[in-house]
Amino acid sequence: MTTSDKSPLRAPLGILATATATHGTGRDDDIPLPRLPGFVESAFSPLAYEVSSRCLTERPGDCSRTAVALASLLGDTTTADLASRRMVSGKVHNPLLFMQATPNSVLGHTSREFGITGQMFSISTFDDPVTELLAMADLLLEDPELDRVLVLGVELGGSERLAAIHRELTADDGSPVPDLPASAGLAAAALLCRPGAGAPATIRSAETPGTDSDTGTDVEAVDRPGGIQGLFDLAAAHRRLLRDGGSLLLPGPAAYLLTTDTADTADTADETETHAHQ
Amino acid sequence: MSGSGEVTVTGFGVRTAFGSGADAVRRGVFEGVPAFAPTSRFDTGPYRTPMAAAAPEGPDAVEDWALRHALAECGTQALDMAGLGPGTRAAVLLGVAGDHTSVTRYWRGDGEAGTDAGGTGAGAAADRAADAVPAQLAELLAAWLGLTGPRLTFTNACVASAAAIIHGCRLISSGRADVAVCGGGYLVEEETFGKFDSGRALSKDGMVRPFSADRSGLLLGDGVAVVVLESAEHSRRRGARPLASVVGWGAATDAHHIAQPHPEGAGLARAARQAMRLAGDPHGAALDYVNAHGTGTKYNDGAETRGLRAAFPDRAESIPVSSTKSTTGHLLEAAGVVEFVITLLALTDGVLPPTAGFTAPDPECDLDYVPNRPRRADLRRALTLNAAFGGANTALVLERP
Repeated sequence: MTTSDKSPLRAPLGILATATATHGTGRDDDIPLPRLPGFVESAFSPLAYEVSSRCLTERPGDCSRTAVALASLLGDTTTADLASRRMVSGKVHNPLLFMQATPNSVLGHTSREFGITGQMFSISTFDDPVTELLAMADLLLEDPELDRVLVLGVELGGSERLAAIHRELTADDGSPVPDLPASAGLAAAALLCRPGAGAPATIRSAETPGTDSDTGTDVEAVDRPGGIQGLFDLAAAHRRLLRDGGSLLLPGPAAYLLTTDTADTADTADETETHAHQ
Repeated sequence: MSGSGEVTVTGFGVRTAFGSGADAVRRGVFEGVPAFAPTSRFDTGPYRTPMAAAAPEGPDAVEDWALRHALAECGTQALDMAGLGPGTRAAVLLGVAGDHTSVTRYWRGDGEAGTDAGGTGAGAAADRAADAVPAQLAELLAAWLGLTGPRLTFTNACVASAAAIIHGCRLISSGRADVAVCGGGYLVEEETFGKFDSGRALSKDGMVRPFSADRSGLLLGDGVAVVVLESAEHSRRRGARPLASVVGWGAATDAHHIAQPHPEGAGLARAARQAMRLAGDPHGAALDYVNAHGTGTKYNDGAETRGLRAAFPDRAESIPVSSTKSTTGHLLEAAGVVEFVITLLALTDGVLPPTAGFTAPDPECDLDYVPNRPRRADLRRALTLNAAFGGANTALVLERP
């Protein structure tokens, strides 16, 4: 079902900041759901805001020249299911569910809090969101009116409807059904620019997909269609680079090379990749 | 790839409450005939109004009122018009939030294989549960049309399909793609109807009266459209005749509110100025028509008017502006692409579609809204605007060859 065929990055991207947050997943670093006025019942918007605000706070910049792109295969299914179940049982809708019915709403909240007036998109893709979001940032940063792109992904735990969808999409091929608790959520974000704009790390397309052993990171293959694990891997690689320096190969459906050297280092990239495969 | 350059439109397919195809749009939208009527697609008893621009059942109905079928129909029309077929390498870019009827069917237990495991009354609507996934509809459309190439679905509410078109323009103008098939769709259903009712956004008098003093809200409508965008070089090489060019695009955010537009239309003005700069006409000197977002709500229409005045301070009063939501209703994710097609038809037919249902001027809406009757005009360039929840705004500039 994956569509691939995404263009590799035409030019390297600088990574200004990354952030991740999980809630209710059972991981050690789960956080309580941040309170976000006007957003109720669902982890989607609070987690989206949490990772966005961490990146934008860590690296303040000209928000009139900042774009935002949010990837989520299914969107806020908690809100959608809650509203639908109320409706079919004859209860009136909660107006707050109307207000938060689209991912745009939380992006609107973020834009207001940080004064972002650049472009704002939300997308749904079966492809690896890392590939899709980096390609979109690469394209957007060709716009002379933009300097930065905040990309983020959000994924919620599964209701029984999500399990039914998963079974249909995988044609009951035995793929494990996502097992996150229904109230759980994950979000990850990266604030991107072109190298040379103060970014401590750079990411560029690599020619050869790597493997876990190449990088030593906790990289996993794309776990399921549209799953955002790749964004967590990107954030983990970024953190490791900032700590240790050097370069890392991020494998996946498309491979990327991360380096702390922000100069144009095509030759060095080849060398690093060779090292990575030794 | 053909390299960077001009973006042309070589085909389209469209469906509204008036039926399928451009002639249905001409009969309804361009004649200023509102399509609003009590809908029988679901029980409207619990809601404040039964009104919507939902096509009635009949020989022209799309099968099961399923979004996948309506998109396939419009996609086929668009590719046929463009003279392209299966095997074409094209990006497929949709603006759609998924087929909400599959969510309703799931929780009502209307599926084939009920499970009701949790005693919820729900059953597994085994058929088409995945149509609720926005990305799935792009996959289905690409498969139906036999197109190869990347697929992507935009979900940013009422600018979603305009965002898909903008993305397609960027892919083509940057030389990343030769052809982009861009579309969007929304068919009136209860999930969204109920949400808008709860938000008290629906019109109180069963009509949508954009920019009019007595406007009281929006009504939802059926809308599906697909357009074929193509690099000028690609269309020239295969001898295709462009219907129009997309010469400018822009997108900007209000940074104001999660659900209300900026009161001065700041983001809309910024998007329009961006698009006009790209079109090489920053002051709109050659702009002949604006297809407004024009929802018919108190908030939107005044803000949009002020935004247009800010974008075109010297010319706003002399540029005709109309809202075709006055006849089609609000098409949500499909608004951008259907109104793109309407704007294209205005250019090719030389007719300004009217703002229907206009009764009395509002002091805060003081532009030329082409009230109630179509107007002949020799148009060369037109701007179509959209806005969405969260303060997202888009602008697209079309030019007749």
